Amino acid sequence: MAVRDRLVELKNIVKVYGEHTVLKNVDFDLHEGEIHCLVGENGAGKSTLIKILSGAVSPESGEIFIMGKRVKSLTPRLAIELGITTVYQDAEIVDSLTVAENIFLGNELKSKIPFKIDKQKQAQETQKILKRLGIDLDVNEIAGNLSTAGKQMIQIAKALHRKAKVIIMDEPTSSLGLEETRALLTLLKNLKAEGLGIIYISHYLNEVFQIADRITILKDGEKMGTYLLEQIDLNTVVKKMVGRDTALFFQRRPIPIGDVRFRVHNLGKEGLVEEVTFEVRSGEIFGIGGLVGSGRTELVSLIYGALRPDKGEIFIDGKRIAPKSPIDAMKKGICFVSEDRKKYGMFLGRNIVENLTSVKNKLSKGLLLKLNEELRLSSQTVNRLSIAVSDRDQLIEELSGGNQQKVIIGRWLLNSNATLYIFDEPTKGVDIGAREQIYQIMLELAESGKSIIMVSSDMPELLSMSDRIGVMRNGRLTHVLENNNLKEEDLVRLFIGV
Amino acid sequence: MFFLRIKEFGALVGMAVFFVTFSFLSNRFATVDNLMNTLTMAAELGIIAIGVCMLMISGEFDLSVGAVFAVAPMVFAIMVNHKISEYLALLVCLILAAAIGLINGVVTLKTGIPSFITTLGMMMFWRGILLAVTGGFPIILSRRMRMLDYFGGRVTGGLRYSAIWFIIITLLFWIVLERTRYGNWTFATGGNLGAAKALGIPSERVKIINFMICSTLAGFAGLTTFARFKIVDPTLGQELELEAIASAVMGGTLLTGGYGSVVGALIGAAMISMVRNGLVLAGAPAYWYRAFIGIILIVAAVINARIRKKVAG
Repeated sequence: MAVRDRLVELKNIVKVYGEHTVLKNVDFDLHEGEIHCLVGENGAGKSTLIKILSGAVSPESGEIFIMGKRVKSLTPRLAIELGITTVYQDAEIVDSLTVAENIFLGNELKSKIPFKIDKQKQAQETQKILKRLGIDLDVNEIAGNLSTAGKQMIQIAKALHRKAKVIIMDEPTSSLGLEETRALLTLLKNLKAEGLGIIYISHYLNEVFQIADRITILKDGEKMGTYLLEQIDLNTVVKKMVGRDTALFFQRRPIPIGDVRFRVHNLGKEGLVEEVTFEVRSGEIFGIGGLVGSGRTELVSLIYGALRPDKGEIFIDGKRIAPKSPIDAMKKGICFVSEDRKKYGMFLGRNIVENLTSVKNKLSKGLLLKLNEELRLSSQTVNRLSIAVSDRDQLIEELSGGNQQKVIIGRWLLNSNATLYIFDEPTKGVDIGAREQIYQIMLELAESGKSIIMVSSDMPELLSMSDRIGVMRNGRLTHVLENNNLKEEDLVRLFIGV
Repeated sequence: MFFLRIKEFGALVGMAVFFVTFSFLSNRFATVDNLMNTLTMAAELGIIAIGVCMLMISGEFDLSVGAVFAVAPMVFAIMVNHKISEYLALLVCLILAAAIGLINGVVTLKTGIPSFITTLGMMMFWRGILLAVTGGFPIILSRRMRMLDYFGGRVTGGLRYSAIWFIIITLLFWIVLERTRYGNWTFATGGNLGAAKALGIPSERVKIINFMICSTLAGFAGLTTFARFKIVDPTLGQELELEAIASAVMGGTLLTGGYGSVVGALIGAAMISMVRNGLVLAGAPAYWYRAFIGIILIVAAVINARIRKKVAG
């Protein structure tokens, strides 16, 4: 390979979020005329790495070199000026402006008349750029009417118009169809031929092997290596993405499994989830794994009534239920712990008691709150889940992530007539100690005869907690596996479909 | 369908419906003279609505325009009554109006409180000043001057200069919005603030300038009214701020920013004026008109939302 200029170099990057080190001394570089792919599981640190390179996040330590020059503090603005453009799914498009106006936004062509924009010339220039890229779009179309793929194309065109040297794409194909994906990959190859450097993140290893020059593998914030495409094959990549220390796996006790209590049949919603059928028994923990965007959260939202299915049926104890809303689902015996505590879990600015008793339950009957009863039940729950609080007036945001999660889960324990508990990423952002306690709570629930669905991106969690594991891919439940001697790499292969 | 993409489509259809209806209800409605009259009546509200519309597109609000609408002519009248040159007085009161907009903008953007609150406070403050300075009594202009004829004097029949200003200002800001960089920046600031900032658009400055445009136009509109009546009452222009927002919304502008049209605001103001005028001619008690406007506003907003949804898929 000819000697080429190094566009970007990252050295010894460390990034810490709260108690988690998400990047541990990671090195990365990108050459001119190269497509460098970043691969790894959910949460391996890929997105954080590119956020650092685009200036959105600053690292705790490490050095950034752009075009050979050291950059001490990189801001989004500076990154763009230095020629680094990140293409987000549609964040950077103003919907009420046309394609041409979007491309020239902030950089408009002036006409001879003062203040007036030369719309015609902008349209012509845009036409030229689009033609060069082989993009078929009407330059006068309003951007809001375009598909996701169209918006991505505009952003790439905008990047070129701004003379970008580096284009970063994070999961660009996750919401594209087959044709659109093919068009995008061709476009990227053309850009590479023009000398641009491209950083490409994708879960879809097939795409990666189609376009990559080099591949860097991250696992839990550590770099597992950078390889030329010729040096590595798909199986090796998968192996390097997983393969964790046994110490990370939790040793759970076996729990006797009873009858089927919960069942879904052909459950689906257009464009999100396709005809999913499975069942969960009493005392069973049913794990659901898959990539981000594979439809896992959508599936559980359908069960919980947050989304309405187009088709299919849901049964509890053989009786058909059709949850119309979360409150309806609760009445019918379904509890749900969301993956997004901040958005769907906590009431910020309220104390622990209020957060614990806020679920509609037997306490909420009657005109006035039963404050003494609330207090009694709350302190019971706090003790039972060993939630570390200094006093009961403490606000929920003052607690650690693990204790917050325990409060959210504790809320549902007050609802004793539930049949099914759904945990979406139960230990996200939770420290190791609290994590084991949360597992214990789940096991106690299972022991008392409840059924549990657990969605998780955490491979050790999925493998150590689940009795069976369902694999979601592109909105389908492709496999349901008994969890004996399953290996991480087997699961990853099923997740990405290779 | 391409015509659904016209931002003012809903407002145009609405106006056509009212035009036909009122023409049937009263044979005095569709006369040149009455239509000129309607346009003149729309002008004062409409000039305010143009500024409010610009500001709304950039994602902010102004509730103080009704107060500024009264403050500007009051300052003008007091200065002129104290024998100060009317040209200087005009300059001073327009600068004052702009300054109120500047304060609205700077306070909103530098402290991070919503413009709803800033301008609500500003509205109360200036209403208070008006009452305190005038003692609750109207101020009457003590001498005649030709200059004022160019603000509110008659051109011919029912048509007054204010209507002509209204058209000119609408055209001016239509060009600004649709044909200049500043217009693009206004849309971008209100439509996707994050993107606008990331692309180096001075979003804060854009908003502040729109606050100033909005306030200055309100002051100007107040002067056209004053030129007609030669008297300024401290309660002048109460609730005009809400009618101005109503005009903009009827014309297709979104409360959430990023989308809208000053031509739509013109149509919205004309529609309000037409309903007021038409109901009187049709023999309905004048008080009914507010109830009507309320319903039209909601129906218009719903229809505009539907159209947008249809276009965007």
